[in-house]
Amino acid sequence: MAYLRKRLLHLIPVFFLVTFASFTLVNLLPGDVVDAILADDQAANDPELRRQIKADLGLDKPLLVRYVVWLGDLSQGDLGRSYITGKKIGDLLVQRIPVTLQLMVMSLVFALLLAVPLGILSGYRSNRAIDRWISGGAFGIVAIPPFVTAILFIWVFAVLLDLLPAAGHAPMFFGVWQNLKYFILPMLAIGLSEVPIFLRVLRVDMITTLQEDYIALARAKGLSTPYILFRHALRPSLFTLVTVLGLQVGRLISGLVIVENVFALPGIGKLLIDAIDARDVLVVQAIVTFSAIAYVVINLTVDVLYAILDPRVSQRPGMA
Amino acid sequence: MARFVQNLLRRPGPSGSESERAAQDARETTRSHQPWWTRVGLPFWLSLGWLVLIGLSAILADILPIDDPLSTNLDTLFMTPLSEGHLLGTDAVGRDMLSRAIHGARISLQLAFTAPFLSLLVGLVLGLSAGYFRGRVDTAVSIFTDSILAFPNIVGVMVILFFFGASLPVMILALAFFGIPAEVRVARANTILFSGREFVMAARALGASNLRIMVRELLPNVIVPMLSLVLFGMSIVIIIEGSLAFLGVGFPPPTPSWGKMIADGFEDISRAPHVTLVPAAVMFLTILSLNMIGDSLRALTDVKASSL
Repeated sequence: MAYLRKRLLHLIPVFFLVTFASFTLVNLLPGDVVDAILADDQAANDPELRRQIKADLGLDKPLLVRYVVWLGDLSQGDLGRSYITGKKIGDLLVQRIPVTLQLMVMSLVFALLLAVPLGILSGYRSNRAIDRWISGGAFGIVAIPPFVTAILFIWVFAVLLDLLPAAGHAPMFFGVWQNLKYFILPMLAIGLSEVPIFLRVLRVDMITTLQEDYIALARAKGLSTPYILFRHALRPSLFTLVTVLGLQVGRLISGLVIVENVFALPGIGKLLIDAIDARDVLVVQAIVTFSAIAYVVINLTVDVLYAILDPRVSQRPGMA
Repeated sequence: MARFVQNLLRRPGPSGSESERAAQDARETTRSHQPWWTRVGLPFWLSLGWLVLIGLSAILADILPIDDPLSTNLDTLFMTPLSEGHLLGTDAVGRDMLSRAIHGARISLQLAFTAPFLSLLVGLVLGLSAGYFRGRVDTAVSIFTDSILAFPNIVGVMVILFFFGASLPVMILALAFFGIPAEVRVARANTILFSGREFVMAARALGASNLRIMVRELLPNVIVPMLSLVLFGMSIVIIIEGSLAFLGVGFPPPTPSWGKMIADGFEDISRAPHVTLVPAAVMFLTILSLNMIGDSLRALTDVKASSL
């Protein structure tokens, strides 16, 4: 558990640095924050309103005090109210999170379903023709930005083949298929861009595992190749993949923002761009805070999982 | 954790049967006797050729015999590629796609040739210090880089542009900032690797100061793998710029950008797919070339492969 304690001690300062950075964002605005909030408002010169906003943001107190107050509110899920729509930002996020979460989970599952078999195959037949083809394909996919992948999928599946809707969203109560069919193309677009990374990591681990003595033993016992690959070799080859899964969350969130906007899916990413368009300062700040915290929490979870999966982790030196 | 992943990635390749391994050794020995320009292979030279082509056209855009990227012509809407006078066709308002692609390269290349080098500079200082001094310096640096990683890069750049105002210098700095962690990781790992070697110990025994060891002994060894990372950094910068321009939240450039072209074309994708596909292909080839060259350089300079 020494390892976990070390990671935790590491992530605590990261958490404070990250939240402090998001908190300061609003204060970094050129000019007066109040001006930015009331940018297009006719009431911009109303002194009462200005004072109200200043008090809401606590701008009359020193920075550190404001940060602590802000953290306290944050811990209770209170992110303030949007100055554009007047809605509670916490509620906005809660509405949007399920869509983003569904897309994220579907994309990851899809990426893993594709990357794991290909990674095993690639590692098993390393440096053979099939491995070269898989690695080459992965190299090509890395060079296509997610927004281009999304567009290509819309062009092929929605415009040319007319199989799936190009954009939009249907809540679950319209039926499962109604809901899912809007998610398929976004899922493919994000999932595909994650495949090369997972594939590469798994391939390298697989090659290493397949050199172990117990694999030779399993082969000598006459076990079938699929059995050896999936039952003997896969599990010990998964650890780096699990770690990378955590580290990839940042990339994934970037992908989500883009894809949600291309497909008009009402998730957090769509909310972010809408808020930027509307110059809704506090909503932008809240989303940045939320995604940074999500990153820290997910990585902590991955570390815990990792230590549980492989007891050696807590003993191996120099891992952090 | 990151270092652990990297160590795994660095493990030597697979070994087949004895004879196979001997054959591979023989291949590698002959290969390593060849000059580097034959070792990198054809894809490397094709990639370099493409980048030189794009780079030169972007620099010479104003004196090349191409149309004005902003001049519209309502007589020539949606002309397909290879039509007369318009090699890559025209878009929804009759602007020449070739000219727009070349002018669009300017913004991407301006960012690609600045931001990653700034990341390299900062990453070098932080990574060298972290890897050389270890202990508290290392912890502080890793807290800093982990914090940067907590902000997804596209979102981060977008938000910085939003809060600081959208301009070229802000964008360069924002892109450079989010490129720091990757460079730090490579610099740190290599510094640790080289710090234990004899020439560093010799320098220390001769009484060299820490600064001198870092600059004279470690830096030349550490910077090579970092430079190959710069090429990947360039392709990431191009992807981020394209994504932001596509979403319309980047800075509004006076000249066209690839992402903006793709976004414009997307509206008419059922009528004229080439308006989207041409800039997408140009972008794809550029990113592919950068990755290809980066990969070749990494293979050439890999500490393990060159068996020091």
